[in-house]
Amino acid sequence: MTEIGKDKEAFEAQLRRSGLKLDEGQRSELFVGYGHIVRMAARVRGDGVRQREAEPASIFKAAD
Amino acid sequence: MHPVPSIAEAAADIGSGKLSPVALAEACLARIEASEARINSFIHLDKARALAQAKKAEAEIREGHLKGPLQGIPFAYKDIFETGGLATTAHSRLLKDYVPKQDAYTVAKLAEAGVVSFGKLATHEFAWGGPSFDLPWPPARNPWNTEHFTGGSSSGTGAAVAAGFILGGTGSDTGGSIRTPSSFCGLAGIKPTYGLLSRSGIQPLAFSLDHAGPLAWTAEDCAMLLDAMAGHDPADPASAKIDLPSFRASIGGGIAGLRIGVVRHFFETDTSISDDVGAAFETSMGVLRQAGAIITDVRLPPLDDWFSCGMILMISEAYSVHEPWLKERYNDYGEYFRDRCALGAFITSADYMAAMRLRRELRTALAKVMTSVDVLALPTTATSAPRLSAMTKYGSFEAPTFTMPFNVSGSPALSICNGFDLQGLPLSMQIVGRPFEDAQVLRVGHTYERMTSWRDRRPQL
Repeated sequence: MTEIGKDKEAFEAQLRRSGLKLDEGQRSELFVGYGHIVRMAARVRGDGVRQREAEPASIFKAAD
Repeated sequence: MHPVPSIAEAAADIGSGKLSPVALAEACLARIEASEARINSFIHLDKARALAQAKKAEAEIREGHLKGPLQGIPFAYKDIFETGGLATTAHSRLLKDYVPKQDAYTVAKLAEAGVVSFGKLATHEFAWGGPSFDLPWPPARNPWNTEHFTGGSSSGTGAAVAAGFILGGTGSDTGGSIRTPSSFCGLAGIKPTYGLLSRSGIQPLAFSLDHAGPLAWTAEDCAMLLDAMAGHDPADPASAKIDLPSFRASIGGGIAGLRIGVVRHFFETDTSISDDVGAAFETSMGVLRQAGAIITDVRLPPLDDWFSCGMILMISEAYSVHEPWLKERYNDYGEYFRDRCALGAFITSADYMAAMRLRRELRTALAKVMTSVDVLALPTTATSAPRLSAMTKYGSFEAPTFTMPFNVSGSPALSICNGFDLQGLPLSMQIVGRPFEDAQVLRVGHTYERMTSWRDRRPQL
């Protein structure tokens, strides 16, 4: 399967799980944005450079 | 005096009896009457209430009941700030008839300070979905050229202040929504430190990134508004309990010896800027150097790390707010908001936590850099205001912005006008400080504005 095919399959599976009820045109529009999410999620994950136990930021403190 | 005064100028003239709040309100209403049909900055303009409040302010001043320098100043609220008894729509069909019972904390504080409320201002739907033409109200247009974008999402505030309809207004900033309209409309606008201003009573977009703040003509005006808006609010879990300075009293004294770090790689290698923005920025650094600042380049993690981190957090948190309505009322939203927000359905818990872990790393890197400089400087936006017709649904996902890093960090960040391009559209730069050093950021902006003449130019409507 091509990368786009894999992406489309993952997109459809996650969309079904979400419970959002979209028509075909709306799904196509959303799939365009989905590509950006895949790219940005990969960027924040950073190829496993982080320790498993790495602490997240505290939400309600401007500096930590 | 210039026909449209700054807040500081109007306050001085009201204080000395040279200007009446009623005459000031009438002048603003006359400008609205003449040009609002082309600007679309208001969702709800309340002329009768504005005049009644101006008359009340005038009577109070006459009788010696003084409330401070904002008494009688024409003002309005981005329509995600709740106003008791007055609809708060978030520029959305979903809240078209929503009338809150009470004012947001910041609205109540400004009312206490005596501002004259002109009403509620256009935004992007729920502070994110715009500029959209499929909502009950049209998008605001840029007074410098109505074919151009105001920036968003505090679009109505940017347009109305630039047009001289009001002298100041509220905005909110989750990824740049105060600073971008300030940039494109030629204003001063500050996203204060996270926790300095209460978020309670403001429609949320993304809890950990949302900031309230003012937009006005000058940095000094922003300082005056912060003086009124800041304060601890137990209703907001992020609200800081700190001793507040007088922001206005802190902006004088100049910047001799101040260390300014230019985040040059953000705009020279990580992404690009227009020639006009670049030239204005370098000239501005010359002005600040002349004022005695010591300017060096600094290095932060790559811009796209900050941007991707902020976007994953923002989309996830916004989706958590809107999920029930997206499931039941998808078609009641405008296309831009729903198609951006629904992308939260594709972000996993592990993605969100990866962004929060990255956020900690980014903040740590920034804190380290801020031990060697006092403030950062960089452009606010990569270009001047684009044409409205050039805006697309996912355009804001495509290139990292210079504003998002400081929502991720929570740092105070001020945008000020630093020139105009060949089309006559405003240009801008951003000054960023350490947490709760908002006064220092405003001092840099004020010093720059005093040394240049950009504040003398207004849009010709």
